[in-house]
Amino acid sequence: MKAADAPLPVDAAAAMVEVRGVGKSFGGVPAVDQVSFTVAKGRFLTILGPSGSGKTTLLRMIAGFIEPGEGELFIHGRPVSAVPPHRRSIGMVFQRLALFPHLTAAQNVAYPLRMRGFAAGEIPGRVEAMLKVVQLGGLGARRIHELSGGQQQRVAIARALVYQPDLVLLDEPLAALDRKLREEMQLEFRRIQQELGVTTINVTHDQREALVMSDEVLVMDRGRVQQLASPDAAYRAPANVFVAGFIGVTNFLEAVALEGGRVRLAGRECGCGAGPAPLPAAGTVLDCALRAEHVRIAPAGTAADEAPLDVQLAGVVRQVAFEGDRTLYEVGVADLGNAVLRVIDRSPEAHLGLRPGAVVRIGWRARDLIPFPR
Amino acid sequence: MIRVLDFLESLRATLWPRAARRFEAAAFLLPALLLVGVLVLGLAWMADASLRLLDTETFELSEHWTLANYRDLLENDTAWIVLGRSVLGAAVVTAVTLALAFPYAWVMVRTGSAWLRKLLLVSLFLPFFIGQVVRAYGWLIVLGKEGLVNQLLGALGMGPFKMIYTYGSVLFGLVQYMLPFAVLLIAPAVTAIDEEVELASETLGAPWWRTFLEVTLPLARPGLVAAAMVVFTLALTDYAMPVILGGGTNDFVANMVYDAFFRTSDSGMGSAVAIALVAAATLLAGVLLTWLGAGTLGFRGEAKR
Repeated sequence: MKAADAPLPVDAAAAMVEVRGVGKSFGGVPAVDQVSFTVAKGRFLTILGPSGSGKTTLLRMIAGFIEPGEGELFIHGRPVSAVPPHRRSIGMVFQRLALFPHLTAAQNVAYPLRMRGFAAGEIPGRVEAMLKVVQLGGLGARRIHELSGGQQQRVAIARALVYQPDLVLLDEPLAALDRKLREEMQLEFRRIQQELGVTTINVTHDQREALVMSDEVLVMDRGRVQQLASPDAAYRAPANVFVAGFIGVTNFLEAVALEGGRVRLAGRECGCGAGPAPLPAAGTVLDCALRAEHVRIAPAGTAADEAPLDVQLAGVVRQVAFEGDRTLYEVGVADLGNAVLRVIDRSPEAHLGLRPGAVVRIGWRARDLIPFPR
Repeated sequence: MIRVLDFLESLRATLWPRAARRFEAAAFLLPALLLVGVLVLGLAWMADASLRLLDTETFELSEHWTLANYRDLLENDTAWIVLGRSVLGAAVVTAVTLALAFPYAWVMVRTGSAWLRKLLLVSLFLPFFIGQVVRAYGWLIVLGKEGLVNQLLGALGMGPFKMIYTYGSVLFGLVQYMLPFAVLLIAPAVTAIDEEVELASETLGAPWWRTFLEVTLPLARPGLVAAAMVVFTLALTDYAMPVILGGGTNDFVANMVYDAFFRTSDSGMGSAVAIALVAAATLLAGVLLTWLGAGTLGFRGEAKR
């Protein structure tokens, strides 16, 4: 029972979590395939991926609900594949929160302390202190159903953190909240996580959440790791076409590699930025990613954009979606073989007159066109 | 078609004006109220009869009211033994049935195999098609002196054992009879428990048995309370099992009522015993309800989150 609380053979250099070649198949279909990564103590890692990417299976293996089919997991340097969940030093915040409806908020937070054999005398003090950290001081006596959605989130977070586990796992606990509250809780959890310095692994399909909350983002697709990088790097330097397309609103254009770091795009020669790999031999077909916010748009015939644009083309607006702080245009471009480019304009008030059918100029800087060999 | 419906609608509007609509809900209650009313009338009739003493010469009930039947009952040691046996039996049957029904309901709800769930459901409903009396006779055949079990044991060189016409056989028969009711009342409560809550308990450091005691059982309480109420009252007032599997040696209160009415033709005494039984059962049910709440029998199931 006390195995989890016993001092562990700590290797100071070891990562808090190490996942080494872990895989799991269901009915012969690999859900998680040869995944390896480490998380250093106190870091916040987000596993980001679409549904079916294997991110939840991976999290459940770390939690101990699913045994890995292959590979090994280490928490605090100790292999844990054979350790049941209740003996792992983890706290988990569940998708549906999984609070105990028959207990009060304080009793919920006290539960792990009781289960883990803390002295009865010190439990109320720890519970009260933890409730203060999540800004629920004085609400401990409330039943769960007497609390608002945001308050329930805080109870779930307090319950998972109160016994100072080595590792906290978040299974999309914020997904069910409305957008405003969700964004508030993202920052709030980040604050608590940094205050307590607890190592955290978060799972989400929400790229914004991943970028906002994490020190590192692990992008997964079809059971495999696509990229492990800082949010900044995952956004600016995607490792492959999948990551480029999954994070942000991205256009893909087919191009052919030329000599001298240039490409041919729809019959015209232009420069390009740095991809994850050096440009292949001339004549190789490439997929070029171009983020929607890197494409500039202006009504035809107006003065040139303040930024020097390396490529400028004429287009016709097909769709306009005004989103308040930005406007998303779909622009048909004849010079690109009638491809439809998605364009995000950050200063909507500048071009309010643009309606479907309007003739526009679009353009981008060469370095924003990121080439990926096929 | 539409026209016919329109016509019916306008006909209804004249025959059943809008003002009468607010009584509609009440009108739906009428059949049920009638049934309950008949029951109350019967009880009133029995209460009346219980206050009249049987004249053993004419075999007619006295004209005037007297508490003689109740006094006799209070002074009758056998009556107290039968009441004690019934209450104790009902309590034991309730405890054993719940202990068996909970795992059954849990597996039935939680199993990942649709095949196993169907099997458990069908096995649960099968006895319903057979009826209590036939089932009791079935147990006579299986457990009797020359019955299946004794034959098997005999082949192994053991027995024969006396298994029927004992208190144990009555309780056994009752448990077997009550099991489906209990499972059906517990299953919804188990369904209402989010499995994630049990997983959460595990990650928080609880081994499975503590999760069961601290989370699963308290959350299933509404179902357990409902099942306990139903099983207890049904067992306390049961007639067939004590008669058939007890063979007159282990009577419950209902058998006493029968004997008074149809053996000694003392409808006064029979009514007094019946009223006493209703009073005892109501009292015990009332105590249970106040103590534990109505469980899933009430409208505010605690399993709701």
